[in-house]
Amino acid sequence: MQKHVNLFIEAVTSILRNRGRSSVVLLCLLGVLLPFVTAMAVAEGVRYQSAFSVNGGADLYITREQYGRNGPVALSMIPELEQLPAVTRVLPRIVGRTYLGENLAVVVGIDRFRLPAGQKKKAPERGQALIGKSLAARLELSVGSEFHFGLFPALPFIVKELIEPSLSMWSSSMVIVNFNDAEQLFKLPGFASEILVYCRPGTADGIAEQLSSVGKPWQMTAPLRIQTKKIVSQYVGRGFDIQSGTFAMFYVTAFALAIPALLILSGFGRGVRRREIGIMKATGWQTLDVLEMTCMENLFLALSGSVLAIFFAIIWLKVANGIAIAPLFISGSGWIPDFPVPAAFTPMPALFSFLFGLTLTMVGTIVPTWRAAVTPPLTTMN
Amino acid sequence: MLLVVVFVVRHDFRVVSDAGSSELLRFQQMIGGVGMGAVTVPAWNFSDFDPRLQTESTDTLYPIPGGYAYSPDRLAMVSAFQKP
Repeated sequence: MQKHVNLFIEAVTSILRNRGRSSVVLLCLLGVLLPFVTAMAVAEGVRYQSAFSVNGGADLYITREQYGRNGPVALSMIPELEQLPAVTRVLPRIVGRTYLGENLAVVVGIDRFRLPAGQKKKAPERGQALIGKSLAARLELSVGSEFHFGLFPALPFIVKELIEPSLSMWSSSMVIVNFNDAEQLFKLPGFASEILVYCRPGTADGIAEQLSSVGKPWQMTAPLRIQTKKIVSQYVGRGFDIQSGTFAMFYVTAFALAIPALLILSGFGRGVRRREIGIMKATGWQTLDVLEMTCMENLFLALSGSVLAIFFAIIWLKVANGIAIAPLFISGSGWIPDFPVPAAFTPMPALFSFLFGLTLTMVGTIVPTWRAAVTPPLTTMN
Repeated sequence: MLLVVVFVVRHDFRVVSDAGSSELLRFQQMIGGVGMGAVTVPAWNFSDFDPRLQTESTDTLYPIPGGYAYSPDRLAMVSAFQKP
């Protein structure tokens, strides 16, 4: 045990002795790992908020199929859905987009009367609107202000409340209005963009199957498109996969930066390193001892590099709110985001960054060290 | 530095693991769940904003079949959404 402790001390001493080499390696590791850690933290943060969107959503989303796309569904379907066994609640909803001033906004229309008692209080009444704080700031709106949509200027809305950006990053473009107002705004009375069905646990698939068979094939009615919570969760996964293009860019950068790191590790200061190994061998060190010390050096460098990368990523995302990096991961956010950039530093990416750093340093040092260690000391010292 | 990293990772892991009742969940329950993708403005498409609203990729269908996908998020193509 004492031998291993001594080797560890020698490894740390060697890192401190070769400060130039160690600093360059640490900087390269930082360059490699920082984008990776940052990307993973933002991805985890968005995934975390998405989980709330899925969990807080309905068990079934029903729309009408129109030319292979989602179309509005008639409210006359609601009584039929309510009569289905195992259905506990049916809620029509309108989600549409339109301009509010110069800003494109997502308008969510919710039926206040069909909400559970706890949520009813917060939902807007007719003529009222909840508006995302950053959207309100862009439009210079505050609580009590009146505004109109360009789509239906005759319909006035009063800001009831501002939606805090911390509630959802998607709220930054969101306006929540009463369902009836949304019907009028989009000029589609009697229709919802989707009907949300809540049912007893474990019955969603059965209801979806039952609804899929509604209507006869010869009837001239567009079929229903039904999405269950399970399918929605799959879409979330797919959505994150799509973002992998951006991530891939960072990996390419990472590898591009990893190459000089490897060159430095295997070439920079190699003469000094070889002489050191020669002296070690001449003073009675075994090849395994030299390799163990090198591994410990790499372990220490990889650990320091990953800790540094995570630390700087924390500062960048949590303190500086992802300035200049957020738009690379979140489309639509400015260089200085006006909402808290979701970021979560979980153990797995931290572990991966350490392993990535360790692999890089090991690849660059083990073979040259072993070669130098098996060469006669007189040759390496010269 | 190590302590800060350990603290943040531990804290975030606990927060992420706990998807219980919170203000975030109550808000999403009220609106029926909106927003999923890593996008904050609906300028290009809805799909990435919320895949529930458009289930299929229409990149190759609309508006120019087989044409270049204008959407930076490679989902739906709503390249000509006119201002009023």
